[in-house]
Amino acid sequence: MRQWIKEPLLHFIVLGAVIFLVYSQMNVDSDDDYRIVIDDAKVNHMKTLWQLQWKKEPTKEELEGLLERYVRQEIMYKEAKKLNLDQDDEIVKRRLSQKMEYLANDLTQIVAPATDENLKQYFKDNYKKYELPPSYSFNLITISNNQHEEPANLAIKVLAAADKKSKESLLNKGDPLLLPAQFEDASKEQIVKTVGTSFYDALSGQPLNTWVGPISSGYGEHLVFISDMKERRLPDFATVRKEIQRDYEFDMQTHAKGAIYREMKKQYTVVIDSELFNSHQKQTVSASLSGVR
Amino acid sequence: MNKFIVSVVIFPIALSAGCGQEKQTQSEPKPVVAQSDVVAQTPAKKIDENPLRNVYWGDTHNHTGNSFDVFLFGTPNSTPETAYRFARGDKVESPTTGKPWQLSKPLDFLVVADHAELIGSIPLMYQNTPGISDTKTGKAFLAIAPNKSEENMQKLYDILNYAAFDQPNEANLGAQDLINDFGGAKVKEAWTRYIDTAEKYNDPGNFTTLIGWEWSSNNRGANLHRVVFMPQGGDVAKQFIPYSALESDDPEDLWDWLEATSQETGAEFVAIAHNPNISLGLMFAETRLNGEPIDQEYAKQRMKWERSIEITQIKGDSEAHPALSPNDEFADYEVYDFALTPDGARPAPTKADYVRSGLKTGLELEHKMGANPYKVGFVGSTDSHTGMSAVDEANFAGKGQHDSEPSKRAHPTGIGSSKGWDMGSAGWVGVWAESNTRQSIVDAFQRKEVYATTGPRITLRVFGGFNFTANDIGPDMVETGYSKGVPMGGDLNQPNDGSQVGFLISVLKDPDGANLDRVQVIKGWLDDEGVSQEKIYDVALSDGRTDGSVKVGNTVDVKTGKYTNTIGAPELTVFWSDPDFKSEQNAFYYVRALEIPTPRYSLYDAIELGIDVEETGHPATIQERVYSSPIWYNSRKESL
Repeated sequence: MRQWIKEPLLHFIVLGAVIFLVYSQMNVDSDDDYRIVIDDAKVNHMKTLWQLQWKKEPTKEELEGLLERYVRQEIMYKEAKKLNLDQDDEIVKRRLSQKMEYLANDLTQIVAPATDENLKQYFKDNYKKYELPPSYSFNLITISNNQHEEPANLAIKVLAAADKKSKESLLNKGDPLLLPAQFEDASKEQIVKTVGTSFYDALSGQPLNTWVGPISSGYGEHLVFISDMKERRLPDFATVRKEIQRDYEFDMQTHAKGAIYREMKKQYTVVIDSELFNSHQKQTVSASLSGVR
Repeated sequence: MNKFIVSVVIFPIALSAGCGQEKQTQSEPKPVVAQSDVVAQTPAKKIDENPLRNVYWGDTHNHTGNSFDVFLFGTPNSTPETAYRFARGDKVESPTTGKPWQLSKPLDFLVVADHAELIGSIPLMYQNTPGISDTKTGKAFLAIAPNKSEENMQKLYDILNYAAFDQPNEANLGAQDLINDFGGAKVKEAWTRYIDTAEKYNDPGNFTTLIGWEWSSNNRGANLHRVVFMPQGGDVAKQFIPYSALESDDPEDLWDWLEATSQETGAEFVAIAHNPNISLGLMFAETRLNGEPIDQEYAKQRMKWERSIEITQIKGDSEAHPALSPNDEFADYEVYDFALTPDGARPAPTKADYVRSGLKTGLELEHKMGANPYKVGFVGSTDSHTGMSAVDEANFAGKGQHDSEPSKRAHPTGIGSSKGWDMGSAGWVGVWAESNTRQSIVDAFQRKEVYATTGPRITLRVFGGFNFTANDIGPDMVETGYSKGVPMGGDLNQPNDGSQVGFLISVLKDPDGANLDRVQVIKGWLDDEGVSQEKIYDVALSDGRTDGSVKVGNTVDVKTGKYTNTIGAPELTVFWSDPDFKSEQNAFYYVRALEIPTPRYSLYDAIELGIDVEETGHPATIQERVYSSPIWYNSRKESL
């Protein structure tokens, strides 16, 4: 698992080279520093942005205005670069470092793609997250707290008097409540939502095909006839694939960002060259900056 | 930027060969490009459907760090992803406290509804993003608030609340500045990313995410906010940028936009207004925002888009106010009157500020001009500004960063002049729908077959009709209810045979919660002079009581915060017919069911902090409740 994380920097360098290549391929025109090309893609991009903002096509004048603004920005940008104005500019630095962070995100999708293989491995490593708790098919009757002084005692009496092995013997008995009397292959979630958490927990270990109880819920005491039970089980990979992919990508992105930064940081030495710290402070600051968080 | 996106898209293709080499050690190389279609091979999961409908629990109003105020209040780590994971029941790291947090029972659906105004722009500003940080607004903000200290965040929040509505402010900014510098196309990136996350977490049959946002009109400090959401997916949502109050703070302009956008894109919008309690007399007014009287056209448009009102949430309960309903002993519940104006005002309530009086105004307006603009169903939601939809009294995550922990709640929140403990731990919405899917849930909102809870998941079913009898209470009640009557949210028109209106009402407690005290029907009607009236009927009482003035009792031990279900009833089911029914009087009926008294979250806080509960300024115990959407009786023989 996650062997790729051992070499994320290598991936990163290879990617960097490709980005460079892709950019230089795309920027053939810019060999000529005094040429500004406005192609279909550029115009369409501007039009789309305008439409999103103003909910209409730009007029001819508006489009000309947009193009004029674009050209102005390009010229200023090119000239500024010639004067090296991008050096040591805080905003430029932050923007570029932000782009690197985004790259790290995209990188994750490339070096740890959500392939069937990776997802299956992730599923194996985290199977507990996907286990389905036991589900039950059962009938229940209710002795309501509302209508009886000692519902538990009454439930015991009713049970004692019944033919326990016959489902029919107690069907439609008990107090009428707007609670379903029958559950078919009901999940934990369904049962908890309808009859409550403690009731669901009490179903565990009960014998099948016989009336059992009393089992308490918020509504009163129940007698229950469980006709089928499915043990805790793992769902098919295919049925939960989307969920696994969601969790996998969430985990990978969280981990990868940290891993790549740690790897890159290993190549750097941080030197504290400031009179504002005494020698002890220098040591502690230096240690905390070199430490990998 | 453009090129950057392009290059990222090209990567996977360009690199599939290069990557294979290094991956040999771990596995045989795989074509990287092919993965995105694999999802399509996933066998369709069975989606449960119940023609008699199930109740699904959700929150239509949850904010994350994409909302300017969440960010400004100091919860930048709140993301839609965390909000969805939390709501569907996962244990997550709380964005406010960093501690693990989980719901006791998962929700069935969630609308992350971030403020459309400046979606995602404030985080970008602090990342010194060109095009945002270097604009007039960005520069002004960064000058006033160069770093993200709590004090600075509060300053920006105050300025924004003014600038957005062209009121004088320290930064000398106006709405147009905000739109130009932070709005419009600049919110597109955040909106698109949000949509992708919503699509990723939508899981039909298990957990539904609905795409939406909040239109946050603060006209002269009046809260006229509307949450908007839709059943359609990202393909439709990506065709527009959410309409914000920077474009207009008049709800009529919002409706025009919804109409136009709906026709253009096929989106089916649901808009829900919230916090009438701090609307400064504007939510259920008799005039339009422009001062003109409300007319039929207004009523029709409003009822097309806004069929429900958020009646309860963290910033208080808006059902009724004790001053407006002096005969209602339960009206004094989570009253919250801290206006959003910066002077810290707590204005007196008007009948336009509360839902019950608003419904009554609706009847009167209908009498005057022929259409009712206020025929709304009831929704509860959190309006949480943390991404955590957690409003169990025993598991309350707070409104925002400033009241996220008990120790902070004695102090001001920065929202009006409120303090932490003035917030209420409420609410969620119960939706009667065939299945847990986007369309089925939105259809229920359109039918108003929805109800509000202040927290407990009480199952509430109401049917109204002319042919019900006490014998209809029983196992077939729901089938009978649908076949012989209408469910909550429906309309009844005067029958030809002079029969009386009656109701089948069933209330089941939260199976993991407290017992029930009583079920009430609240009736509003128009008397012969065209003046609206109200009356409350106790239709079912626990513990064999026959007189509603007898209290149910209180089992809460204020030292331990424990209560017992030795009083109250686990369920109350009743057939009730209106003894005062007059076939010529228009009326509405809704059900309010109360739990027995249980601890308010502030009592749990007081116990944890070792202080006297008096110091919280709030009662130790409350009676939590559900409100059904009303059923309307129309004296006309057919509906509009």
